[in-house]
Amino acid sequence: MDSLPIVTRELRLASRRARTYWLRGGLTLVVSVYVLGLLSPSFRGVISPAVTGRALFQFIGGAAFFLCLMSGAFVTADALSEEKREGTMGLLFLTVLRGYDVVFSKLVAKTLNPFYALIAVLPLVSLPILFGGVTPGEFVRLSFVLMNTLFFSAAVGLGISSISTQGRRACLGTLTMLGAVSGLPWLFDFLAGSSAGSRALMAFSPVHAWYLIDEKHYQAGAAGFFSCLGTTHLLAWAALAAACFATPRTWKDFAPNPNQALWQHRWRRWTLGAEAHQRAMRLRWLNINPVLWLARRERHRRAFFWGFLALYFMLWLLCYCFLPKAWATSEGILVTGTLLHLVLKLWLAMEASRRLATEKRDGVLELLLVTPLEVSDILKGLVIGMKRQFLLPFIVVAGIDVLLLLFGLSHSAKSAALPLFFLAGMGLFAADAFSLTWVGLWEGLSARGGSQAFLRTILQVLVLPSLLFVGIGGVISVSGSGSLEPLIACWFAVGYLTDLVLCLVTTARLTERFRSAATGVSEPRQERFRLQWRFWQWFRIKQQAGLDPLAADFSLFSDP
Amino acid sequence: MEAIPKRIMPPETRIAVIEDSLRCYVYSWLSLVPILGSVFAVLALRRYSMASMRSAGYWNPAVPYARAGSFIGGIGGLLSAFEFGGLMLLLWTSQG
Repeated sequence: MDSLPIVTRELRLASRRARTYWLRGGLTLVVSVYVLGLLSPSFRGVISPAVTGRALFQFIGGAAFFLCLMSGAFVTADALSEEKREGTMGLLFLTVLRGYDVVFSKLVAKTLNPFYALIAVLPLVSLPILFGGVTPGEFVRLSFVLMNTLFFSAAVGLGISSISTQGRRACLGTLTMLGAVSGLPWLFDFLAGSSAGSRALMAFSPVHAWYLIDEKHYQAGAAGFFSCLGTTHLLAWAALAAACFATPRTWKDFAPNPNQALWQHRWRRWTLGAEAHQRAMRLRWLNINPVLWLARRERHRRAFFWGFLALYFMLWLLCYCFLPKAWATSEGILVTGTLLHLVLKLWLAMEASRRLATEKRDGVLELLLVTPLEVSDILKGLVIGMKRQFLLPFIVVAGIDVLLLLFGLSHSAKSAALPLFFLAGMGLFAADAFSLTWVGLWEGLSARGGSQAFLRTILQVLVLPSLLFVGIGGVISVSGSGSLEPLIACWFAVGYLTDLVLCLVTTARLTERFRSAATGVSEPRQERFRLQWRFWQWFRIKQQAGLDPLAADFSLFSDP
Repeated sequence: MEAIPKRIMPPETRIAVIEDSLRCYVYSWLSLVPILGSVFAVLALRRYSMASMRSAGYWNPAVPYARAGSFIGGIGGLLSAFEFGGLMLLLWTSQG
């Protein structure tokens, strides 16, 4: 460890951070409650333990695999680019540190908590072995695949981060790279059929390794499992080596060469418009609301949606042409509608959380707050800007939902579940849109950066209700008659109530604490809680040390 | 050295904010009417958002009414949605 001094430092820091232990313990507790909840029908003898155990293994294993695969985009993608943006990367390279020191320290610092979370969950995933639904070999393979995927994803994130400066671009680049490596071999296999070439390509996809965990699939191709594991592991090391090579070479700011400058000028002209157009817009919108002018300056953001919609429609047509029978079923239509909703929700969350985070980082918000502009004007400008950007796309998506529903009703079996699902989905889509806007704005203001704000918004608005629904829905499906209607009602109620509470809490926070959150000053009430907490910690330490707390000094209360 | 001027909400804005908060509270109770209440639920939430926007950065004396109204309005909206869904289901099954 002496050869990697920053890694040692990061590990020491993590060991002293309370969050490291709380995360590990909290996650174990949450997953334990879920496991016991899902196993409860088997305790009562309603379902065979082997069946429940199998479902549990597949569900938790699948969720853990997805999180491991995505971790690179949200955990490591902005690790090096953030240092470059803040200008601290150059300071690091003024010392004796090398590229690999910085890259490995970031790898350790950023992936320590996800790794601990994985270690905390694995013993619970092994429980189904006792029930007989899962073999020990499957559990061992799952453990290897999860750890390898986490390493692969984190390494790809660092590789992309080493050549990026903007956090959002790094995050999107990592997502694209992970999506391409995971999905393209499957697409090639689907289009070209099973051949030697497609089998060789499959070795690059981490999803293939996860697919081969199952005992039946593993028996059919054990060699494929190990080659897939090895290939992704090698790819991860290659990404790390690329990051070590690129980091010391890409942190400097160079003036763009004439060719680059020309392209930058063209891009700026396309996004903001010609000079005359910009002047006209400025004159028009600055008088109405300066924040609204700031929010609606960039024209390309609206163009992205139409591009995406065209691409989505083409893909849907392609799938419909190749697999007309499978694609015209209720399941195919539900997947199409849900994916469209999900993409639009993610985009809304990204935009809402980015706005205030960027303005806070660049100092624009501080400047706005010292002008005669009121907080209500700033909020109004932001909300109207969001409405102008997203209202039309949302109406279009609602129209597409109606078309999909009509298509589904004419092509699949008549069932009440499909129209109910679409109605509930459209209602939740509207509720989520409000919630994502308000939560995104608040997180953008209070979180440390745009990526963190985006992640926190998604966790609160989309992931939390899904987890609640899985728990409550599991109990309903076991104790109910087996029909889908109560499950749809439960899904809608959980999502709607979460949105309602989040909306109320974040609007109250935004309207009451906007200035203090923007300037990073604690509210008097927060300050009181912080002091009380520190006093309790100090009292406990003194008691544990066997000292009289009243006779001790008050050094903990002084500023460091 | 001059004292920092205290931020005071203009009286007309304060009146509008109090009115919005009280209207939100009244609409929220009306939102509990089956199915038709969904319109009042939307109105209650809209009034709440207007009151919050106007009073951003200031103290709203009627904030408990606004908060209670928005919550009850939200619950009223959920109940109306369930009732609407149930009605649709009933119509669907009666048609066979």
